[in-house]
Amino acid sequence: MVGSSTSHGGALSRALGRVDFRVALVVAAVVASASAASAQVELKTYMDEKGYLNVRALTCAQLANTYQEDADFLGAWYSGWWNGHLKRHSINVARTKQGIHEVIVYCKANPDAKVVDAVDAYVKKVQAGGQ
Amino acid sequence: MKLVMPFFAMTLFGAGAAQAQVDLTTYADAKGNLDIQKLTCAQLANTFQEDADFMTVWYSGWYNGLAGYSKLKVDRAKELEHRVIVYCKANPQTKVITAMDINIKQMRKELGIKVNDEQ
Repeated sequence: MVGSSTSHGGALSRALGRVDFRVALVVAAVVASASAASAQVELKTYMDEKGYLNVRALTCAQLANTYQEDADFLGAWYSGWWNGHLKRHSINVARTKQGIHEVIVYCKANPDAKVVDAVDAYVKKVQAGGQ
Repeated sequence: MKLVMPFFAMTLFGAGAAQAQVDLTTYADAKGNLDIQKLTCAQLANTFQEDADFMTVWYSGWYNGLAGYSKLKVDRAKELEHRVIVYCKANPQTKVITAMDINIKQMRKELGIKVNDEQ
């Protein structure tokens, strides 16, 4: 859209190009926020009647459907949980934050996967030297 | 809860902001690894707010993983996070894992929860 406007070279075309681009940005923002607003749910949606969340059963789609604040919380919690599970007593903060990011990317591509499997896939990737 | 917790976090770590906040990597070894059994409350308070919040939640997960638990009670985890922050403010020389341990046991006591490792 912008490219076709600027290719004409005229001031009017360039101005129209900027307007079109801004319209496109606004439309994209509206669509993005609308889809996010319709999909997000509170974490308690996935809890049992006693208020517990089964971290082995949570799926990538469920993680993606929570609010950003809750997803961030779970990402940090899962990382700690995984390390505790493996009896590891140290953390590489930079690598951990990168790992959480990669798990989220994996989850977006594999919504039906369990979060623990996404974490496992990332850990195996790192162990194989693929980071 | 969501309003109260950030307030306390700001109170604790806001004090640190007046001093010299440092990156968490300051406490890491040459390979970037941080020994979570040695990190003190003062060090946690001296990091940036984002990192302190991250580490407190991470510790909560670590404890549960270590104990072999696979279920998370989110409201209780967030309450623990808040309590550890308050405790750390009053006890800067304490190790974070000790602060976690003390507050986990206190919460269990208050809630009447008994687990095998305390019997």
